[in-house]
Amino acid sequence: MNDKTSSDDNSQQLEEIVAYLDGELSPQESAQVERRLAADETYRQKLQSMERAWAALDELPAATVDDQFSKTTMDLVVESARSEVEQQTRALPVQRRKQRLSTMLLATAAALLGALVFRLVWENPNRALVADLPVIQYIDIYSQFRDVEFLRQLRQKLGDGHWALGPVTEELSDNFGQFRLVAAADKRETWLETLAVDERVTLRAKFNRFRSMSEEQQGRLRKLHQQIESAPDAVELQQIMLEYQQWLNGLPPSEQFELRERPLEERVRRVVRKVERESGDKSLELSPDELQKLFQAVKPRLEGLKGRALENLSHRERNEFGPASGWRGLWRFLRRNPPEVLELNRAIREALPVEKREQFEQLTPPEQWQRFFGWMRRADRLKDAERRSGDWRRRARVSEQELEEFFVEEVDAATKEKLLAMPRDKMQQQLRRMYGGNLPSRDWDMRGDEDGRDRRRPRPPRDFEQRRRDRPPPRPRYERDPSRYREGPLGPPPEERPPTR
Amino acid sequence: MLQVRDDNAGAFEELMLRYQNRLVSLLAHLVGRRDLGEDLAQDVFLRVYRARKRYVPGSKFSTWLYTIANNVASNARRGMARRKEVNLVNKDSGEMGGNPLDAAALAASGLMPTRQLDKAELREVVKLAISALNERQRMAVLLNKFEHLSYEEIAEIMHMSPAAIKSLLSRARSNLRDVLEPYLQHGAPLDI
Repeated sequence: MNDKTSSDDNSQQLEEIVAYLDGELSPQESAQVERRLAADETYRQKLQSMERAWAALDELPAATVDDQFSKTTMDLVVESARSEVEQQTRALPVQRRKQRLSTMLLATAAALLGALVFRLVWENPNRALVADLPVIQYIDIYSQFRDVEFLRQLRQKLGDGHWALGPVTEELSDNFGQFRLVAAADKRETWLETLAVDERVTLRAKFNRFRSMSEEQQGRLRKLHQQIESAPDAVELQQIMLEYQQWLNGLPPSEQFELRERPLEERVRRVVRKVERESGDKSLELSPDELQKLFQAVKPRLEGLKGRALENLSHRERNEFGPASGWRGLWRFLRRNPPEVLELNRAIREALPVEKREQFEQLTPPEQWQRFFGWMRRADRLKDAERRSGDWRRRARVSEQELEEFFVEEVDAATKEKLLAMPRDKMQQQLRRMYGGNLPSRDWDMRGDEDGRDRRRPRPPRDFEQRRRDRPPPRPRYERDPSRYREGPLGPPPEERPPTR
Repeated sequence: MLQVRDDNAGAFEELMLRYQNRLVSLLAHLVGRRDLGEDLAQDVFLRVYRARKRYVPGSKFSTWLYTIANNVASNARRGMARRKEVNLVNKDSGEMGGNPLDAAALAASGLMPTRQLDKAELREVVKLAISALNERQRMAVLLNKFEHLSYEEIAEIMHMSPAAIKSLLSRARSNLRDVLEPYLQHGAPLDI
């Protein structure tokens, strides 16, 4: 019985993992899986093994047919069309059969009939669709908040200016224009007629989603729309709502779910904090020259710190904080030594350009360290690339086509998947680095971007098998400081502990 | 497809060119033979043309196409089984029959999972792993992996519920993992 229960649990876990990898879980379920991945090593290993096997299927050859296939297929189709015409001709009364009906006439009649049928279907749209069109078309954003007050508070905190990163002002302006068309009852049918086929398919999917909601939920969305429409500041509220939608589209579904679940005040606070951080992040980016300058300025201090850090560590700590642990290891050391922290912080601030220094000083201390280590990781990458290629600036001149060819022909399946999960500009950046410097995947070790913050979708923790392979072997006992050597076994080196999130 | 429905021959040719490679790949992996896959793909396109008047606007063309492909492949496999052209192992959807694949792969090619596989060898192992799945698992895996269809779309094609597809894919991928894992651990590294 226990075996059966354990086997059922295992099956359920695998089902959950596969659905998560396929993006088939709800945001709530995804968030639960991600929490479990962070805490459960066995669960993580299951996911990684499933991913590996799935990626292996990319080795299956893809078929490519030649012109002969296309030609013979079309021959078969033409033959079939001829048979149809003959059958239709035979079905006609005898006297009319004697008249010569060309294939063209029949085809034209069929085409006209087809067009007529299509128009009849669309000219009689579902009245409910037209009546609820604004709610249906914008069901995604109306499902994200419950009351108008949320929009008002967002507007109050963030202002009327453009604040969502990514979309350009013209796109938002177009979106607003479309919203006004859809909201106006007398313009809806006209707007519907302008839709392309794929837009109609999308609208139909939204309509089905709306109809699958309970009456209460449908009523709530209608009421929300009405409240916004009839508000004295309707235009401003609609603009901020569309801006919020654009901004939300950049977040993974699990984060959107987390925001939706928060009470109003806390949701506003989180959104504002995130937006402000994103705006600040952009202005605090360092150019390559500024990075170089910062790195050169703090390098002597950093070398000294690293040396002192390693000297005073035990065997276990050295394995944890040693060279292979990179910047994270150094940060762990710094945290235990406040005077060192202050010294280094002062050196960093002095090395920054004046305008960036003021912004840097406005960050909280943890944010400052996060930012600094992000800069250092980026400086590392630039240095590596420069060393390999001799001129990292040459990467900026690689054409789109060369990058595309490189991606298709030289990047393996697992890396392709990782690249495709990134925002487009980050993907291109990473691809350029790989192309120019032929960098290994150790970039994937870093959870942060150059600003130290991880903007990527929440992903399962990195490949610990790869980390194990990358880690240098522990130093033999006799090479360590003899004063620390003790008689008797010191025990095996500790097993690598996964980082905590 | 709406233009095809309206007897636009150029539109049909365009559609065919867009889907022919993917369709042939899918059918070849389903029936295990490239030549038969091509024949079946032509059969599918012919059926698409003949059924063009029944196409409903608003439904996804690819879902419709793969529904037809699924039916064609199933008919072909039944025909092959009757003629005993393939050795169909009687599997239920949850078992790999004591993992016959490992033994078959090792015997056939002399591969040992303890040495590094080159790309060609890995490809053969993966092909064998796919062929060892039962028909429904294989179809679901191919549609999910290479056509990037959702569970709902696959369910529509295979006349099953999305929940059943979820379970089916989970078992299929678990089976694939069980077969491939030794080769991935010791064989050609798939990470960089």
